[in-house]
Amino acid sequence: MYGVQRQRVIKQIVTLSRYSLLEAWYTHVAWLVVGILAVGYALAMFVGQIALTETNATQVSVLAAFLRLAAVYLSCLFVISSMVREQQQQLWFLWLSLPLSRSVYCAGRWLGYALLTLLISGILAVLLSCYAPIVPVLMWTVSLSCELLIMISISLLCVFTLPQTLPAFSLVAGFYLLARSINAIQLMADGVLLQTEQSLFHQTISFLISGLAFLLPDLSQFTLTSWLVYDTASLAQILIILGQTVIYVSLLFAASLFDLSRKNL
Amino acid sequence: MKSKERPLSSVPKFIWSLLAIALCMQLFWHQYFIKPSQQIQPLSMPPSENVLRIFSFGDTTTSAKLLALWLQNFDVQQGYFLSYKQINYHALIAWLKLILALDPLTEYPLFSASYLYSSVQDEDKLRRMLDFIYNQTLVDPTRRWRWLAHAAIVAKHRLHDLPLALQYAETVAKHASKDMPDWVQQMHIFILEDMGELERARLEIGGLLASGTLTDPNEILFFQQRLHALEQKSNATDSIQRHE
Repeated sequence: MYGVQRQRVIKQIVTLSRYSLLEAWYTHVAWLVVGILAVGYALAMFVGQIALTETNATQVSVLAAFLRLAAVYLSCLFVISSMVREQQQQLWFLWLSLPLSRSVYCAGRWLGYALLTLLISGILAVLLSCYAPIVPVLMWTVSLSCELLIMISISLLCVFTLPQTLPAFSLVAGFYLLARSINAIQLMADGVLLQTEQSLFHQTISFLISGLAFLLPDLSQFTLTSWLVYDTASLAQILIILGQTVIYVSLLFAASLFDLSRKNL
Repeated sequence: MKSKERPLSSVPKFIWSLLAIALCMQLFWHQYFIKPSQQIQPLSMPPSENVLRIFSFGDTTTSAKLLALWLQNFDVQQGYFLSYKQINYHALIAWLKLILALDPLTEYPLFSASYLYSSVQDEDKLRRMLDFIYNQTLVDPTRRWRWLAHAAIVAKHRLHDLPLALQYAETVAKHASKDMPDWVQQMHIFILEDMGELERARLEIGGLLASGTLTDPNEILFFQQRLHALEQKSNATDSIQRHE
């Protein structure tokens, strides 16, 4: 009895994720990925023309940064627009009117988006492997996939909380920029505190920043361009990234479920 | 299958006209009213490293590479090539330092300092650039020695400042590593000879031969001959001094 029910839940999750992937196909995400590859290639060629030395290193770093940003932008915007459309067209009422729990709906949607981001990072890595050695590119791709999983999870949470594209995307963009720079902000705050008198104001600011850093994943350790340029990636770093991703995605997924469960539909 | 869009002929004529007029106006506007500023922008001091680290959003390597490209092209403004004399070297060196701070493994700033900015026809600016190369080499001599070796050559042949060239060459020799060519490690000996410091040059060659670092038989022979020539030269100088 329990086994049958589990099989049914898995089938529901897989079906929902398949619909997410089909939606990506019908909204021409594939063409956008091709466009990103074309622009990335043109950018690398341009940089190769103007660099006087370290040409390959400069091409790789500019291309990697562009591909990472483009992948994050595309994945987050797709998740947000897809969920906003679903809510505005009231398609989720249709889904939830079926014998389908809210958590299964959330898991199915998340799995579809996760598979899409893995596909995107894999395709983008093919272009990068034309400029950088294969092992660092593989590590970079694993890290990019982790970064994208965190970003689609936060997008899902934000779109449940703010079911409109502009506010949800703004929140996600803010989260991304803060998570990528929190390490530098924290170092700067601590540096100022060391140099100046430890006034109450400075201590409060430093405490707030430290508190924020505790809650955010340190994305500045993810998908480092220096791995590709100087081959500095290590397995230990990748394991730390995988661990952080599992923990943070679980947290965001639980928060999304919490928000969805409280919705009075 | 029905096309998603109606044919072009279905677009009203006034919309065609509006589109054409607006496009012509934009072209006209750009041609006659948008003039690029003729004023050459001076190179200002860079922001602090911390600020730039925050705005790099965790990717300081890419920021450093982009800044290096921007700085390299700074001397081309409004289609004019600025001479390096016109560039503020104080700010330029601050930018180069910042790029190295963001990406310590890059050699782009030292390449630019050695081959681009050291070609300036201003002795003071050239000295400041060589000083920058010297200081940055001391930070990581095993990786950056080649730029200091180049600086020694520039100091010797362009500045004709042999003590400065010797200082650079001796620093390179002090941090000699296996991947360093022999001529770089021995550069200071020839500078000493040029300076007339025959005794010191002789001692350096003697030390080099005794250290066993030379393995090539031809090279050993060359230095033995050199040592012999120096000894003769030194003796000749001594006898002239005694006569006087």
